[in-house]
Amino acid sequence: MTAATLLQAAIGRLAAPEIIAVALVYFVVVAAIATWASRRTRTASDFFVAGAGVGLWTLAIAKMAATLSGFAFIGGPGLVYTIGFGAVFIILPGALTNALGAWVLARRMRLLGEARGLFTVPDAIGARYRSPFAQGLAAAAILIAVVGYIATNLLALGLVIDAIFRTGLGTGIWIGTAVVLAYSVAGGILAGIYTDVFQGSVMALASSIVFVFAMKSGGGMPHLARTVMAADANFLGPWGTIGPVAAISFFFVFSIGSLGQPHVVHKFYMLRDPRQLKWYPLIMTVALAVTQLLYIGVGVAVRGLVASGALPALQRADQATPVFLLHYTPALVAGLVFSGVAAAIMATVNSFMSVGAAALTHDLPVAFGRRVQNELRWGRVSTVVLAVAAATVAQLSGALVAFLGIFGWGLFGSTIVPALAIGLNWEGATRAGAIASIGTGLAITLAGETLGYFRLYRLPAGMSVSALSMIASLVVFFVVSWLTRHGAAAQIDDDVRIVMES
Amino acid sequence: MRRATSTIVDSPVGSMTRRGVPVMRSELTNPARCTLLRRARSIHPLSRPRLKRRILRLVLLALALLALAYALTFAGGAWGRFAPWLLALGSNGLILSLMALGATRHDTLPRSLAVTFAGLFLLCAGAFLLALALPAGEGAGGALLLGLPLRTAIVLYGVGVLPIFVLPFAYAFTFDATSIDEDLERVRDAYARLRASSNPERGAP
Repeated sequence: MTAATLLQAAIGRLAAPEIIAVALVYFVVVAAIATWASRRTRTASDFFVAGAGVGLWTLAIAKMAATLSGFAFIGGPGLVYTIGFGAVFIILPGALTNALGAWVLARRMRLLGEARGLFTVPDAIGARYRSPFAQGLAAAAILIAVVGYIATNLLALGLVIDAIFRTGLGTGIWIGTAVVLAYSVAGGILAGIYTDVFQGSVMALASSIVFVFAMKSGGGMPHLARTVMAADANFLGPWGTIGPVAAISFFFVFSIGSLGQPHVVHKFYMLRDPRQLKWYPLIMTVALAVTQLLYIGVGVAVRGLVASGALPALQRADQATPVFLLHYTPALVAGLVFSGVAAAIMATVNSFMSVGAAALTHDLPVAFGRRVQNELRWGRVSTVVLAVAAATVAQLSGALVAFLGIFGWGLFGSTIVPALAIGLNWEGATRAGAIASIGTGLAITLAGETLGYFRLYRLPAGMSVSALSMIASLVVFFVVSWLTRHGAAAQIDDDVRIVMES
Repeated sequence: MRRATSTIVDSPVGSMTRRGVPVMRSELTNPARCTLLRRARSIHPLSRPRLKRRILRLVLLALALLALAYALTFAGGAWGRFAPWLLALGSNGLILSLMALGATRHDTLPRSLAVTFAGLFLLCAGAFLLALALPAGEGAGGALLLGLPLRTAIVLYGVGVLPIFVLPFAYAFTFDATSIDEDLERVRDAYARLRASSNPERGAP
């Protein structure tokens, strides 16, 4: 419950009329977009992949909004405040990952999705290996991570709503859940995509404005750097206070892991015209870079302000953004940023709801050799079930939410990257290799994070369970594929082979 | 011209070469294709069978470096100090070799992309290695580059900023939009044939 403390400090100013007005305008715009989009949702394809009719700008900004959760606005600056430049290695790969995803996945997933009418990431794995079991296993991994992610984000959303409207945390969680659920159930990912465009724009605007205020508050970057370096030489060193192994491990996990994030990757199915992919990496990379300015700027600025004595030391690192906003920006800007936080959270939750509902309604039945008759209706039912389950978890235990929220990225990366990203580019990958790698990623991530959380075992300094599980699943993928290589060619359908060669 | 290359389904005639370029069977049976094919292959000199296999070796090498780095971290002691160097090489090697793998179509990688990927590997891995090699100078009065301590600036601008001005444009300028419709048509035809001949065991959706 780290964010609870953070927002307690800010509650007095958060309830200012300007902030409430900005937040209300924000929610009204989201509701209007959702109502408009929900009227266009008539089929399961509309619900899960926006009818594959999304334009390039919409796709890029929606992907950016889904990629960045509330962490980019609250947890990230707090992490920079704590460990210095080492925290920047989480967002550093952003300059590379969009082009990486475009080359490795975009074209192939788009072609495969269009030819076969695929909805989900596990769909692509099932088609690649002609294996419903691999599809089901990938869906199970996604479901495990999705519930934790949604619960974590709903808790954060409840905190923001409580801080602005003074509803109480429990009520704030249910209000936040109801708002996201309303447009997710009515309009599915179609409503989600178009609200994401608005939300992504709010996030980018808020981030760039706050970055300017952050640099101004510290007297410019050189002055800020001098102040921080005088107090703590390591803080602005290349690895921060965590050392090179931990910092470069962040870089590895968040670069390669980006290829396995289903809520981001599945949006490749949604592009109306695959020829528009040409400028996708440029738009997405620039949008992401702009929106991440707050992440670095606020963390360093608050550290400099604390070092110079302008601010008292923070009790909790997550206070960095609210404290900075309330002391150094006008109330309207603070309102915009808190709306940006809500936007980031809601965009991510909506995407996870869509991915989780598709896993429940579509992928798991396929794994058992069944097809749901009315995927649109059951998709809506699954979305409600997932949201209520996650909101209940968020209400019950902060510790449980924290535990469930920590392994999402690594679980996605270790279970999906080998089978999907490498599998769609290497004819030698086999069904056995894919299944073994997904199983390895699941087992190591769940066991490692559980042992770590209950302090039964700690990895050596700098190592993370996510990095270990990703390496292990990649190694297992190659080794098992090599051992079973004689069957590799026969496991690829002709259309999939053409997609892989194209 | 890329359109022509993307549809080539051909094979070399033994070890026969002309000006160092392998002679293809279709050139013997259809001389009209000869000029087009040879121009296409001179533009894409990296178009050779087994290119993907070579790139996969790079992927495996990068993965081995990463695995070794973590093994050394586990081992600790004096060996542990090599771990960050291996991580720097392995993580950037894996990213850029996967890019090359993804950019390879019909076993062909445009030379401009090969050069770009190699250059970016040198830039990104080099930035990390330089930051590891340079002495720490981040204390009060340390040198600043564009507002940041020298080593930090090398990492941030080298890995986090400079690639933004290269990779998206490399992707756009080598994006082969003309072949997408063709590929989509071929994929649809193949899937239609598959469905027509499918039985329940094949699991086609």
